[in-house]
Amino acid sequence: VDDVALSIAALECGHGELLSPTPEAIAERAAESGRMLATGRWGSYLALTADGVAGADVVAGPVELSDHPLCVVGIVLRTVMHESVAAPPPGAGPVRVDEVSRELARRGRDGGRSLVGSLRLLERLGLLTWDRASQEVRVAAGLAAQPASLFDVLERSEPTDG
Amino acid sequence: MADGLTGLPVRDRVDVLEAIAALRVSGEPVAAAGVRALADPRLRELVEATLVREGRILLGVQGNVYAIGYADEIAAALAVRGIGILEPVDRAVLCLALLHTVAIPRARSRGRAGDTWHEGERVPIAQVIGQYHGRGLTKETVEHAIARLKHLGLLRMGHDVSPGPVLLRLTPRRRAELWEDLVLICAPTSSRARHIREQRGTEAA
Repeated sequence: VDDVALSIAALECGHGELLSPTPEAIAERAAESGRMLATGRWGSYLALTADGVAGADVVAGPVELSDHPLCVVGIVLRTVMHESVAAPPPGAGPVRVDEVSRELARRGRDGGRSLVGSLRLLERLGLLTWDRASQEVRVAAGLAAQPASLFDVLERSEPTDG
Repeated sequence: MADGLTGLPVRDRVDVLEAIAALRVSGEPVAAAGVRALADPRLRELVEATLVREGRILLGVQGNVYAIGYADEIAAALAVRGIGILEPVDRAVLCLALLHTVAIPRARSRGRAGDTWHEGERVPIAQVIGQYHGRGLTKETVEHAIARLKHLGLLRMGHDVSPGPVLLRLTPRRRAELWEDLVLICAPTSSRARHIREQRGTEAA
């Protein structure tokens, strides 16, 4: 088995530890298909580079979120990244849906029906995952792969109380 | 950059990367019609070669529609390490769901013939849950497992239970092994089951 390919496949499956090859070998191979190897507090993961993001837009369309889903993303990010609105690793979380709902209400936004709609949209865009059984939300690969501009928008638009 | 992509005109290289990203992020198979590097045989070869270097393979689903899966040896190596595998309860519920939505209808000559798993009948969740009565699993446990399987795309979203699009990502060998596993479970003393066990024993030796 090709160790580098195996390591990349393991990272795709959410395995945050690198298998046998060196990080350099994995990074070099990942770059061939427009991805980069990144390491954060939750371990290593693959993120799309600018080339890869351009490709993702073919399917998902440019991510332009309205206020409510943008607010949901901001709350989830601030929770999992400890108040920093920065690119998170895929799978980061979980954040409980009722916690997001409370935060939305605290900011004067609908934490009920609109939250369900926003979560469905964010899930469809591949930005968050929503486990209906446990009612937990996690960061999906699509959010981790977004360009820095999205996080800049979040930083600027993140509302304060009310 | 990969040897295969080095020296390519910029447009071709971007198209190959776009095709790979599209295959990776799409929950459903990707039609070649909208993706130049899948429609063009020369570029499609480069897509395949790049995917192979990441342990993936390009699967032609039907006509000019494509999906990606893990190469058999990579999938096996991941499973041995316990990476990317389902929890036992989810595996059991998936098995039962596929039995009711694909295997039984096909055995009764309903639906598409062949060895694929992604197309099947819709059955009520109660039909799957009912199979577990008295076997140590609660209704809630099975419902939660079904929700997880739907989230993973192994079952389709909706009120009923039906096979999901991720099953399109199985290689021909994996599809065949799933059918064989069902034979081993449902008819363990049959001659077919004996043959499968012998064949697997030989391959493992």
